[in-house]
Parts: sequence; C-alpha cells; structure tokens
Amino acid sequence: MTRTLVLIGHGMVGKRLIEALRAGEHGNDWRVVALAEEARPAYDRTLLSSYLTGGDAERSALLTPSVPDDPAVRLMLGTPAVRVKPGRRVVHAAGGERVGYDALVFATGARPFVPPVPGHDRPGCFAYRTLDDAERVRRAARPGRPAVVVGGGVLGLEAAAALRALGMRVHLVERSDRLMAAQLDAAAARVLAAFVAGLGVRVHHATTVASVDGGPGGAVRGVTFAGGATLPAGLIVFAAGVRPRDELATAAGLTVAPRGGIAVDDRCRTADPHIWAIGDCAAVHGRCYGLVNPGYRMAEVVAAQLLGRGGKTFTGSDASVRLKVMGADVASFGDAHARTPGAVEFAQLDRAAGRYAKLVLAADGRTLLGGILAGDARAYPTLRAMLGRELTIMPPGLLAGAASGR
Amino acid sequence: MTRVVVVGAGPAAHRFVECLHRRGHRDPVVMLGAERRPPYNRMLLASVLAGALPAEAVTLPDLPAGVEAYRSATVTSIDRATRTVHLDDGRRFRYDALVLATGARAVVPRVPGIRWRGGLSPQVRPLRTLDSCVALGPGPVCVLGGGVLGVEAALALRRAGHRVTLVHRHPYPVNRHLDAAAGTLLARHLADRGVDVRLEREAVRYDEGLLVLRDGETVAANTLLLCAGARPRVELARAAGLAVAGGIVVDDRLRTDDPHVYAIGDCARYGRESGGGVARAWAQAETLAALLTGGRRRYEPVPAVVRLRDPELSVVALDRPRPRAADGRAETVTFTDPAGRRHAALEVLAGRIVRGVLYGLPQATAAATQLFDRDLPLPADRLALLLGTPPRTGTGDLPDDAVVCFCNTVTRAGIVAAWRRGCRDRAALGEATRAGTGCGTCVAEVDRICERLGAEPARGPATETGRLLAVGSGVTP
Amino acid sequence: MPTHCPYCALQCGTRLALRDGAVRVEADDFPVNLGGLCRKGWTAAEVLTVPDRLRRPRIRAAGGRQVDTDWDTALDTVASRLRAIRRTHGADAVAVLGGGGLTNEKAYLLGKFARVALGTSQIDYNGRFCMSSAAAAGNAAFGVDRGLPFPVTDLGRADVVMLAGANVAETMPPLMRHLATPKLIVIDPRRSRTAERAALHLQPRPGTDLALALGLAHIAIVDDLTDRAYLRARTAGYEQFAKRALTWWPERVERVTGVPVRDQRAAVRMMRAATRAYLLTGRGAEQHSKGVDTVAAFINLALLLGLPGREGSGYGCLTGQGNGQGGREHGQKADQLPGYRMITDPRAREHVAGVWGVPPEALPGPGRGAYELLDALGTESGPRALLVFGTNPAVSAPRAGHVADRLAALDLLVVADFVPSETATLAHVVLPVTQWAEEEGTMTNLEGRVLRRRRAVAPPPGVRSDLRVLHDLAVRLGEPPERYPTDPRDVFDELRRASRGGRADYSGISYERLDAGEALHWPCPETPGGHPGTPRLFLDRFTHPDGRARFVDVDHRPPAEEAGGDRPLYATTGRVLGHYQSGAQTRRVAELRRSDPEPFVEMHPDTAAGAGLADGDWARVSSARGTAVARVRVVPTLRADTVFLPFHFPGAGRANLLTNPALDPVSGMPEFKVCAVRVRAYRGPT
Repeated sequence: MTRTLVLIGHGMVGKRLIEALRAGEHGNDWRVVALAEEARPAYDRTLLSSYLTGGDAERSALLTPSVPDDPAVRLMLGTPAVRVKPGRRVVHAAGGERVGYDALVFATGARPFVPPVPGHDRPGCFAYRTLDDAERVRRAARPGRPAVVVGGGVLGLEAAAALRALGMRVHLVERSDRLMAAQLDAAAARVLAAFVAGLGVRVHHATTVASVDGGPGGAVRGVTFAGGATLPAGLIVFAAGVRPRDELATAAGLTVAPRGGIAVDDRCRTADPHIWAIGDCAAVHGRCYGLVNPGYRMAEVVAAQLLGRGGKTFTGSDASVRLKVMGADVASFGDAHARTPGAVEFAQLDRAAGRYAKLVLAADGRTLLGGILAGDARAYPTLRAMLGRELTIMPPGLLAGAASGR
Repeated sequence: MTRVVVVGAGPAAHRFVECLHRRGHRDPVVMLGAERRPPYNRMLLASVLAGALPAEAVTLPDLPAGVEAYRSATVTSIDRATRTVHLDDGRRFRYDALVLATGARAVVPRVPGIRWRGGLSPQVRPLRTLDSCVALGPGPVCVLGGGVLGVEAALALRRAGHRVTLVHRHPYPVNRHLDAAAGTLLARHLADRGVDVRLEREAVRYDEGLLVLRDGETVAANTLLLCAGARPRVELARAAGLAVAGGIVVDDRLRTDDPHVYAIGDCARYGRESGGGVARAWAQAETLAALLTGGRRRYEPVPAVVRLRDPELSVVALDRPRPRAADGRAETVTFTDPAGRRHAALEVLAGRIVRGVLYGLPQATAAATQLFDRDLPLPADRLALLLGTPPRTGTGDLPDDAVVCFCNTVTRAGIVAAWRRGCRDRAALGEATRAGTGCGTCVAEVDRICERLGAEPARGPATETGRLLAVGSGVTP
Repeated sequence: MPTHCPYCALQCGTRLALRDGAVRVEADDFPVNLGGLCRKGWTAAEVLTVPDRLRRPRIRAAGGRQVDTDWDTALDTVASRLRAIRRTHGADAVAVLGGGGLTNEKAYLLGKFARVALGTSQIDYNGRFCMSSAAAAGNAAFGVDRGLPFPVTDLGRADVVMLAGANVAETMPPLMRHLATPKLIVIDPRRSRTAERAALHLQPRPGTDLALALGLAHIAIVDDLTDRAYLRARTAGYEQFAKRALTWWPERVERVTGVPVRDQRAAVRMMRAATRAYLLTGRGAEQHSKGVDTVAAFINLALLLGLPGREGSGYGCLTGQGNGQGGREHGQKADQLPGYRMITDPRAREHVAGVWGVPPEALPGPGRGAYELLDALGTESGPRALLVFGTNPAVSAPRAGHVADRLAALDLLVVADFVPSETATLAHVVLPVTQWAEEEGTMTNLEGRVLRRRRAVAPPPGVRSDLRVLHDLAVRLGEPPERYPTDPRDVFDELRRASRGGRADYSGISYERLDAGEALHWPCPETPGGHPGTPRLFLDRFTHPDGRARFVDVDHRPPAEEAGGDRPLYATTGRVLGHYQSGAQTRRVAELRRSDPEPFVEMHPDTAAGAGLADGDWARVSSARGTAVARVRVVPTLRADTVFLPFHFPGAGRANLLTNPALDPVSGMPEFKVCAVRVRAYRGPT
C-alpha cells in the first residue's frame, strides 16, 4: 500500500531526502508531496557566490537544476505550507490545497539573521541566502564603490568574495577577533585574514555596525561602527548567521528547542511519531547545525526510517567545512577546537607562505579527532576520511616539509 | 718551548689542560686555582647541596702528569711586559702563553640584610662554589631566583626533604629561555613537588631566617640560596689593560688583544657570546688546546642548548642567535597537550630549528637537540618527531572503510570495488558510486585512489638485478 | 656424525647424515642451539658441493689469466719465489694473513710456520677486524680475554640482558633462544630485529656509544645504583673512573648521543633491579677507532653494577667468527704466541721456542696489525709476498678498494681457499684446500668451550688440507718434515704443550676427552685427576695478580670522521641473517642467495626523498674513499642521519669500499661502524 510523505521545504536537504528514499525503495511504497516556497527546485546554495560571479551558463544551470521526472514525486513550487494539523495529519498549502500525510518532514531550513540595528532595512541592505537575494545584490553592485559585509563567517566571506568579484571595494565587519570563528582558531584566522586583506578586502575585527545611515531618499549612505567611526558605503550585506525556520512547527504545537529549531531526537523525530525535522530547521537534542552535511546525514536517517530500516541514528556532529573563496583555501573538521578531554594539538605555521595546519589528536597522540587547515587545504579530504582513526598516513600537502619538495 | 700558565681551576681550565696533554704538549703547564679544593665539577653542585653526593665525589679527574697545579693561589696582577703573573704571596710565574679561565662570580642582589660585615650573612649562600654547597643547615630554604640553577636546586633540595620556597620576579620560572606555556608547566611541576613557588615577587629585605617580599609577605629562610646569575670575573684582565666588554674580549683564536694572553670559559666574551656554561667553556678549551699545539682550528660559537638537569623533567630551550641559513622558509611548529603536560614550540628556518622550547617530551627533546646542534633539517613528519614515533611514509592508503565522499557516504572500499569493475576515472567512479558528485571536496582524494590503483606494481626487478650483478661481478684484477 | 656448523662463533651442534650420497644437516640438541639452527646452518651442506669448488691448484699464467696446474708445480713455484723474495728483501718481506674461521690446529700451525719456516714477524689475521677491541679491553679489565666467561646457557636464567651493538637475532639467531626470557636492552643506531624484541631500545648516533656507556655509569654512581661491597672487594681503579664518569651527566650524554635521558635512566635501573643481569658487547661497540675504550667503558659499567665474576651475571663479548675465540689464542695474531702469550714476553718466547725446538732469539718480534699489514703490501718498506689462509680481504677489509690495489701490487699473492673468493681471483697461486665437513680438528666457541669438528665426507680428489699445505711448503723451504705434522691430532697435542701455563691453557684437553662428550672450557691445565675445565671464569678472582678487576679511565672522543658538509650522513655496516662474512660461502648457497641476493642500503624516508630515491631504486653511496652501489630500502625506524649497508657483497656493492681504516690505537681495529657518506641516485653503468 502506497503511503504519502509530505515534505515541507525543497532545499538541498529536502532534495536529498527524496533521493535517498527513492534510491532505497524497491517498489513504490511512498508517494512524495514536496511543498516548496521558492519558485524553483532545490539548488546548491553553496554556489551562490559562483552565481554572482560566474557566467551565464553557470547561472542558468543554477536557476534550472535538472529534476528527474519521477511520477511518485509531486513537486509543488512556489507553494509554501501555511498550516499543519498533526491531529488530523494534514497540511494546508498556500492556495488552499490540503494534503494528508502518513509521514511529515519539516525541511524548512533557516532564514538569515539581520541584526536589528537602526537602518538595517534601508534600501541597499540585503540578506544573503537565496538566489533571489543574490540576484538583488548583483543588480545593486557598483564597481569601484564601497560595500560592507556584516559577518565574517563562511557566508560573509563568500559574500565579500562575490562583491569583490563584482568590482566593489569591500569592507568586512566581524564582531569577534577572528574570521570564521566557529571553524578556525586564531592562527588559522590570521592566515585567512592576511590572505583576504591581500586581495583588497578590508577586515574590521572586533567591532560591530551600530547603525546603517541613510542619505537622501533614505537609501544606504554608509555605516557607523560601535566605536563611532563611520564608513561610506552604498551597499550592505548582512551575513551574520541564520535562524531556524520553526514558526510553522510552533504553530502546530510541536516543541521547539530553547535556542530555536524543531526539537527532535537522534532519529530526527519530533514527539509526534509521524513528524520529523531535518536540516537547518531541526534541533537534534537541542542543537542546530546550520551546515549542509549534517543535513544530508539527517535526511538519510529519516529515509531509513521511512523505509522500515530504523536502526540508523544521527550521531554526526561533523561540522567539517572547506571554504575556497578568492583563492583562499581553508578547512575545519572534527573537533577543531580540541574540546575532547585530553586532546593534543599539533600545528605548523608558515607565515610567509600563508599556510597553517593543525591536527587535533586524542590523548594517545595517534587518533585523529579534528583539525584546521588554512592557506592550503589539499589534505582536507584525506584527513576528514581519517577522522576517528589512527593517523597512519601522511595526507598530501599537509606537512610543510614534504610540500617544500626537498 | 711554550710555557703555559692557566689562571683558574674550573671546568674550562681543567679541560684545557687535559686536552693540551692529550694533544702531546709536554712543555711546562702551570695551573693556578684560587680555591683551596682541587678542580671540581660545577654541574653537580645541586646534587652536593641536596646531599646526594659527598663533596669529594665531584672532583674532576686527576690532572695529567707533569702539570704544576697550585691551590689557594690568588693571582693579583699580570705584568704583560715581562710576561709574568704575580700572586698575593709574592710568587711569580713567567709565561709564554697565559690563559685566563677566571670564570664568573655569583650575582649578589642588592637586598638589605644579605651582605653582612663586608661579606655575606652566614645564612646566605651563592650557589656557585662547592664550599657554599656543603653542610647545609636544617630548616627551611629559600631559593632566590628562578632561573635554571634555582629551579634545579629547589627540586634537588625538595628531594632531600627540605622545605623550599622559590622566589622569582618574573611571571614564570626560567623566563629567559622558556615560553609562557612551558614556564607555566614548569611552575606547576615545582608546585606538585612541594616547592612553594612565589612568582612575580621581589625580595626587599633579609632578616635572619626571614625573607621579606615587596608585598609584605615573609618567607621562612634559614638558608637563603642565591641563584640570581653570575658575572664574568674580569678584574685581573681589566687591571692588566686588556679589552673588557661584558667579559674578556677574545677573537676566534680565543686571543685577547695581547697575542700572548688568551681567555676561555665564563670570563671570556666572543662576539656577542658570553657566559653560556660548561658546554661552551669546554668547546673553547678544546679549541685553544688545539691552537696551542699547532692546530688550525677556529672557535665557532656553540649553539645554546639550555637543558634542565633533573631526573623527572625533560625541558630544553634551543637558541641559535645567528642562523647559518639566513633565508629560507620560516615556519612555526607547535604541540600542546595541556592534560599531558607536554608542550613544544619550534621556530624553523629553511627546515632547521633556530629556536625552540620542548617540555615533557623526552624523546623529542633528545632528537630535536641533535638536529639543532648539528643544524640538520627536521624530518618531514614533524609530528612523528615530537611524538617520538617513526614517520608516516606518505604513500599509504586510507583504510578500506574510511568514508571518502561524505556527501554520499562512499567508502574507499566502494571506490576500489567500482574501479575493479572497470570505472577508471573520476567521472566513471562518480557515476557508479556518486563519490565526488556532492560538494566536490573529495575529488582530489578520488583521483589519488584512482592513480594509486592504476600505478604499475613495483619497478621491474628482473632487469635491474641483472644489471647489478653485472656491476658486482667481482674485483678487477 | 655429530659436528658443528661451519659458520659463526656460536658453533651450533649439528649432525651430518649421508642420504643418497648427499650430506644433510640436522640440528643437534647441543646446549648453545638447543635443537635450533638458522638458515645458514640448515643449508651449510650445500657449500660442500658448490659447482665452482676449487679442485686443482691454479697459477697465474703469462697474460694474467689463472690456469690449472699440479700441486708440485704450484708448491715449487711458491717456495722458490718466497725464497727469492726473502733473499732480496729479508724475512719480513713475506707476510701471512690468517682467519678466525680456521681450526685451532690450523691457526696454531700457521703461526708456527710464519715464525719458524718463514721467520717473519708479518703475520696477523682477520680477527683484527672482529674481536681485537673486546680482547684488548677484556685483558685490561680482567687479565684474560674469553668471549663469554660463562656458558651460553647461563643467559637464559637472567632477568635482564643488555646488548651493546649486537644484533643477535640476525647474526646468531639460535642464541635468541637463550634470550627469550630475559628482558632485553638493546643499544643500536638501527631498530634491528633484535631491537624490535627489546624491552628498551637505545638508539645512539653512530660513533657515540662510548659517551653513552659513560653516561650510564654516571647514573649508576649518582643515583646510588652501584654495588659498593663488590667495588671494594673485587675491583681497583674506581675512584679515577668515577671522576670521569661524573663529567658525563645524562643531559650531556643525551646531547652527544641522542639517547633520551629518560631511557638512559630506565636502562640503568632495569639492570640494577635485576637479580641476574648480563652486559654483552658485539661488533657495534667494538669496530671503532675507539673500540677498546668503548668496550672498556661498558665493562666499567658492568663492574659498577657488580656483574662480572658473579654466578648468573656477567659481562661478555659475543665473538663473531666460527673460531674467533680459538683463532686468537694460538699464534696468528701479530703480537701473540700460542696459549694467549705475548710475543714480547721473554718467558713466553722461551717456552714456545722450546716446544718448537728453536732458540728463543730466532723468533721474530711483533708485526703489523691486519690493516697496517694490508696497507703496507707492495710498498717500499712493506711485504712483497702474502700468503692468505681462510679470509677474503678484498671484500672484508676496510677501504676495500685500496686494499685490492695493495694486493695487486704484490710480487706474490698466494691464497688457500676452497672457493674462488674475490681475493683468490687476484692471486698468483691458488691452493685448493679442504673445508669443514671434510676434515678433523677443534674449534673454540664464544664461551671458550673447545669443540670437535669431524670429517663426514671425503674431500674432492686433488684437494689438500691446510695442514698438509703448510707441511709441504715448510719442507720445500728446508724445514724438517716432523716439525709440521699433518694429522690434526698431532698438531693439537703439540698445541697443548705450547699452551701449557699460558692464559689459554689447553694442556688438559684431549681429543679423547672431547670425543667422550666432555664439555671443556679453557683454561683446562693438565692435572692428575683430569681438570674439569672452567665454564665460569672469575667466580673467585680475576686473572690480574691481585685478583681484582680493573676500571680503566676512558673518555669519549668523536669518531675519526664526522658527518657534515657534502657528506652529511653516517654510514654504518653490518650483517644480514642470510650471509656470513664476505659472503664467499653463503653467496654460493641458492637459498641464501635468493633471500639476500644483492647489496642494499637502508635509509630513512627523508634521506631517500632528499636524494630523489624511492624504495627499490639503486643508490650510489660515497665516502672519501670510494663509492658503493646498492639497492635502497626505506626504513622509517632508522635515524635520519644514518644509512646502513651489509658488507657481504662483492664488486661495486662492497660496503667496505666506503669504510674508514682509522685504527684503534690499541687494538688496530678499523672504524667499520662509522664513516661519513653522501647518497645519490645511481643512473646505471654507462
């Protein structure tokens, strides 16, 4: 008997759930109804910057991703869900359609966080999350003019890279004393900052934007920093993090984690046995991940349950990330900050070459727990594959001595 | 005939006289020591202080036959015109070559109460001479100065069961040589061993049995052990009109500005190098002995290796002030293990250590010191060096069950299986396994696996063996 | 037929069985090998049937080619040319080089032949390259030198055994059976197979083991781990040595040797905590220009810990060659006469001359040590003729390229061997002789036990025993025939008389007693009831007149050649399991050739990478003396500053093309274990 899965959201994680489910099925156990807010099928959000800077072909590939013609999947684009009634196992879609479900999965993702500073909503201020955001930024960009990116995380760096590529003079404002603070340690962040600065991006560390100032007509004219200094700029991009989209679930009476996100267990299931949440909107044991890879893992965990192979749980706190922007190559993986009790850190820094590598090892000095690479992250795929294992091989490019080609 | 007169009877003088003899010098040698004891081994004073060794055990090996050695012989002046040294008792010795090995004297801090009637208060002992190390009285000991000597002495005294306080004016001990991380670990070790460590404190007064610190605290000190450093003894040289600047100035033949007068050891200054302990003193002694017996050696500064001497500690600081490789890639290697109390920080230039601190890494300490001493490149696998394990050889494969593609959870075994089924490149493997089709991060690794699977098995042995046998087919008559 | 393996000093017990006309080796349950044998031993019979066995004398014809000849022609040629050379250049123009593999009888008769028939002082043997440093140090410390002054079987009951420069697992594998229980402390720059089995491996920089020994002594003294009662009662010279050792504090030793202080301490503590402990040295400690001092320092350490002369503990040297022990006791050594007597001692000269029936003043004085002898060959003041018995210096001598040149400069080179060794191919006359299972005789193994070698098969026709060759030559040189017996038993009986009263007294040992199965360790003087031999020396007293062992005051010095500049690496040489000495025998055994077919050089991965080499490539290793070509083996556990080459291979693969003939001033031992080299890729012969 065919059952119905309703999937709210069609981002990368939602798409992965459908793929995993379809790949694992033998017959047609499940009919999938996917309610998508955006008017286009899921696209690779990590490629936003390439959208901005790339050519027409890359843009069109992103805008029209190929969606397999699958009769078991009904993709309702531009049709967000507006209400969920768990008691009756039904979802109301925009436009009035009601869809009954046997299983409901939230994959609503996250929304950009825009700090509530005065003037944050002036014309010329943008978020940086969707293709539509990217398109708006592209149209507003003026070569040679200053722009401000708020947020020195992965997204902020990508936005800065894109604006730089669009010819703007970019200022990056990071409230902490280092870029990618979640992923990097101080030494790696310095390497990255030096590299970014070398490309003409001015980084303002340890400060915040106190207000966005307007000019005639109310459009953005510049910003004022917390210390009082001002900076003229005609374009502001907020990339200061995201917040899980859990409002629909809240309205449906599902539990939300204290710091946001739909509360789920390590099988990504809510307290309602028919409802799951995956990706950026899900809080597994209270924690939101905000990265695509953990989202994929969650999708696989849920797919396994829907297919009756329920043993799999989401264990991955794998916050591994590799970022290549403006030619800077940084990566962070596993227990990058050596939080495991007894962990030891080994680091090599070549300041002149702008290379840094740190390995975090278990107390035995052998088992790889995590690490950080900056300037040259060629070793990243190998090291990530070695996580949790004894580090018995020397990943290519990791060690400066080997790399110098003596 | 070259008549050699040595002023001093410390380790530098002793080694010089020994080497001179070993190199065949049989002309007269006179050695004038100011102390009443025969030459002794200063490196073992802490052991004597702690009672582990009797004083007579640290006497240096007997001098070679034929050396005229005088004890309690205080030289008062040098007459360079007549090439004669004068002693306080009126004796005189003529020389052809005069070697000044007068050493250094302990620094006595200007703290009221330490000096007494023109000398030192009887409870105050500078840790420099054997006499000051014998017959230590009972009661608490305060070590003033947390440099290398102070730390070694404090630990040795604790082992011998004394109550010990270590007073040091800097934020961590051995601050001249260690970095903050190692210094902090060392302070913790001292505390664990029961040394009462007072950091960032200065002494302002010594009252019999009590040392008063600037903040008013008092430290029980039936004995006050001075470990505040040493200064070269240069009075004799200065009075003789020889150039003195932070030590008796010598050139790379260890010669002063008088061609008949040399200086070695703690009293000598070569370039910017002065003091430096026994390793440097011995290197100078050996070089000078070689030069005076017709050798053509020149003195080369000895790289500074500061190694704490304590059975439980493995701490070393390395410093090469003027690296030979002036340019090249500069690199910093660090290892931190707060829980295991291990730490290393190495500054590397052109692959060689120019500065470094290692704490709690016994094997790496030995290995790094050797590389540093001989200016050899670090192994490519620096982590293996620090951990004391064999290097990873760099050509190994990932384990079969290692996940290569995280986006699609593809293991190495999966890729290998697909390769064996005939997928020979990234595209074909991606189609078969989806490896590399997600974020693309792993494609380099997929390529590498592909390349290694495709590599020919080890070089063809048959032809090469044949070639060697041709090479090795016997001696040509 | 019970006999013993033809190779190393362990002299494992074997039984030879004839099956289908072929000799087969079976392991005997002899105490040293307990029924085990190594690969060399199992395949030893193959040496009896090597295809290129020398069967007829050969003589260099016009044009330089060697051709077969008959014995009379060969011997007449040798004798007449020896007479001519002696007449023109004097007796010392004729030299003799012996070997540590010769039986006691051969060694004895060779020494007598040289001193009496040739009247030359120029005789020495290849044990100079093997045992001489340990021998000199042992004599100085204990008053006598016997490899192990205790039976091998004592080792198995020890708690701890320290091996200084001995890779037993490869050089004498069956000995490891005795080392299964004790915890091992191995001192070796390489992580050898023995080191892999060690509880503690100390890996000093090559050429610094003397400093390490001094450092261990320092720790023993300062940490109060010495046996004070023993020092008072049984030793002399402690005070001065202690002063020296105290200048070698562990941190200084660490800086010189690279051995962590922690490990130095652990080693001494392990030794001291053991109820029964042994300290054994091997070639690694001995083959240095300071080999004697290095061994002395290790003996000093053993004395500090109270080991020598205590049952169940002790110091010993693991001798190398089959008869390395007996070979040095009976007169092939430049400075010695039979019975381990010094040739400079008038009483010794008188005694031996009496046995030989010549006036004492007819005996020459001491001659050159082996390397100095080889180095002098064909020079203005050096020998013009050389007789070689049982050794292959063209491969095994240091600076082998130069030695080959010296051999080529001789007016006459005579080699007695059973295979065409690399040295034999250079000879003017080659004399084919018998080998182990074809002859009778005695050997003295590393524990000073005298063993019977027995004849199992008839030698090939045309081959003569070494004793017969010496006899035949002596007669042609005008000596009375009865002075050179050809029956080993007669030679042994004369040897017994010559050794009587000497340090190595064999007078109480007879073939009858040995054949009856008695285990006889020298000294074994002839006594009325039959002396039981001396399995354990020194239990009551050491051999010095006052009965005390001597501490020798030694100080560390660097090797003769330090790595640096354009030769940044140390090369050290050694053995592999499959081969023996120059490999002249073992390279002719198919199984052994297969297991180790070619020269190789072990190096650290970084060293290989730095030279652009990978595992399996061919490398050129060059020292100031020459270049050897060998296949690269990448060994991650090796020190990065060190490469290792085995020395068993001929031609361009000779490790000894590199080695430094810097000699120990006392023993004349060359510095085989350390020289400075560089490594480059080998691009093949052009």
